[in-house]
Amino acid sequence: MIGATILLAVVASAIVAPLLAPYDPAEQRPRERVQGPSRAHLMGTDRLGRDTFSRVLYGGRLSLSASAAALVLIVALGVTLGLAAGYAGEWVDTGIMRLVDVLMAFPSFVLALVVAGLFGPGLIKVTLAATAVWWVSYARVTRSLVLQAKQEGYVLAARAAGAGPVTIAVREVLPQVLGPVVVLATLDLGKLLLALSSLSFLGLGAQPPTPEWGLMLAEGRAYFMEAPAMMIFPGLMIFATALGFNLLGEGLRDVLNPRGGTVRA
Amino acid sequence: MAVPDLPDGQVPSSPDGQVAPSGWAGPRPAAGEGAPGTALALDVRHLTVHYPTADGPVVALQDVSLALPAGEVLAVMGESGCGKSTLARCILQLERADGGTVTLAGQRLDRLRAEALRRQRRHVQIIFQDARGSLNPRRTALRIAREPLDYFQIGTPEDRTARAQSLLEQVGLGPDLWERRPGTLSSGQCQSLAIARALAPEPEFLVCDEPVSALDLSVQAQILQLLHALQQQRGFGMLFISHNLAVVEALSDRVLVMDAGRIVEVLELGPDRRLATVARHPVTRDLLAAVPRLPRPGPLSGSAD
Repeated sequence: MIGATILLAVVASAIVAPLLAPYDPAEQRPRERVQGPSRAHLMGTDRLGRDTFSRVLYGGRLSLSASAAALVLIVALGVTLGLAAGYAGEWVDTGIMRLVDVLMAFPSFVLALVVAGLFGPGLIKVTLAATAVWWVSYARVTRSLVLQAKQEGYVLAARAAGAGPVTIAVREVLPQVLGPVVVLATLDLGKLLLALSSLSFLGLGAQPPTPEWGLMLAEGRAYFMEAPAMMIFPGLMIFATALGFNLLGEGLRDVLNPRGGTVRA
Repeated sequence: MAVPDLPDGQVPSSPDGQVAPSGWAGPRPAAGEGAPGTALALDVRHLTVHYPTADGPVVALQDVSLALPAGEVLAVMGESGCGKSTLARCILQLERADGGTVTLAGQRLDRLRAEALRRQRRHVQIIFQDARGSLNPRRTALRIAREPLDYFQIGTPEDRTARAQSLLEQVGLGPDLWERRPGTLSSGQCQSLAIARALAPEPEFLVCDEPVSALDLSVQAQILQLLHALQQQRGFGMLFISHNLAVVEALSDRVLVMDAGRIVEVLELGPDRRLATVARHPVTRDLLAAVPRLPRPGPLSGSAD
């Protein structure tokens, strides 16, 4: 409930950013640069005199939508490959799971960093880099759930009743898988937001002058002693959003799994 | 003893109720031209299945052969773990055997590729022991009964719904239950629904894998009456698996007794629906001694047309 409330506030503020933001997030005011919070600038200004509050609001749009887009791609890829591996078995399973093993041998953030480095800087490229390495946990979870669901009597009955493999996979097995995957995805969204912000912080994600939380942190780092607000407020937004997703994910896990089991990647 | 290959549809000679070393259990000798038992619906030969375990392969089926003419009810009886359910799943090719053949109306099911096999399943359907578990808990009764018609693309969507409704009525599930999900139905209603689903594509052959063993006695009798009435009315061949002789006697024409993956004895039933063959095998004698008797099911009241 707390998680949902936090997220609702963050998402709503991002959606209505044009209405709430007192300034254009890209508008530079050289005479008002590197200021602390004031009535004119609730969260202060950055090194180019841009209003941090406006940039935080607009930055939420980009950070949240990039994380959501990455998550959609990751879930789609992971669930599809996990479903194929679990349902088809044999060489399809072997091929996909060996690729999963290889990718899991490296820490996902480090691997994302390498892929992002290969693709070059840019938020879309970083989103694709995160997708390329993050899907593995979904494939693993989906595969194990599919193997479990395949043993259900009604799946066998559907085969006997004339359902084809695709029909069974999509209509009988997939619904079994979606609940745990939704929980995992909600828990992961916070991690993904942190990862994408971190990549932007390192200069691989969003590029200036785009208002994006990770990039704002990177820009504020040099001014931390004189104007800590430049880092504190984007940092707080990342913290609050990640916390909201974690709390929501745990709540969903409890609701969707009343027996008290946990979903682990 | 090897069973000679015969042209499609030709009935092999019966070993007259005595089981041959190979496990061959052919059809009863036909009384005359056109009598029931002359058209071969299902022919299973030398079926062998092993399951790998840490201690080496375990034999689930060993050289099992049987033949079932259209319209005949053949029972398979045996203790738990003797291979009855494996036999059922192998006949439908839900599980592939390590060796042997399964021929249905001249088609070698064991040789078919996935899509061709899927189409052939229209002719042979199965009812599982765990009726509730065999029904998708998210679907309504009507949708479950309609599904095989959708999968096999039989009729128009309107026809399918009408046919599913008619089947549900026939098995005693009225309109008030059509939108209910399996979780809200009783065990007997779930089994009736499973029967409706199995009969939806009008199979020539029905495999019943212990369909009443999980039900209480009164519901067992109802389901047996229903199966008996539907079999009489539609004339499909039926392989009825059970470990209960009383249940088996109520429905079948012949009884195969299995032990440790083999057919060890074939029993004939007389006109009074009692065993006409003297049980020789110790497993058969144990099974005969172990169970209470059920009354022979009468005609299905009302609903079946």
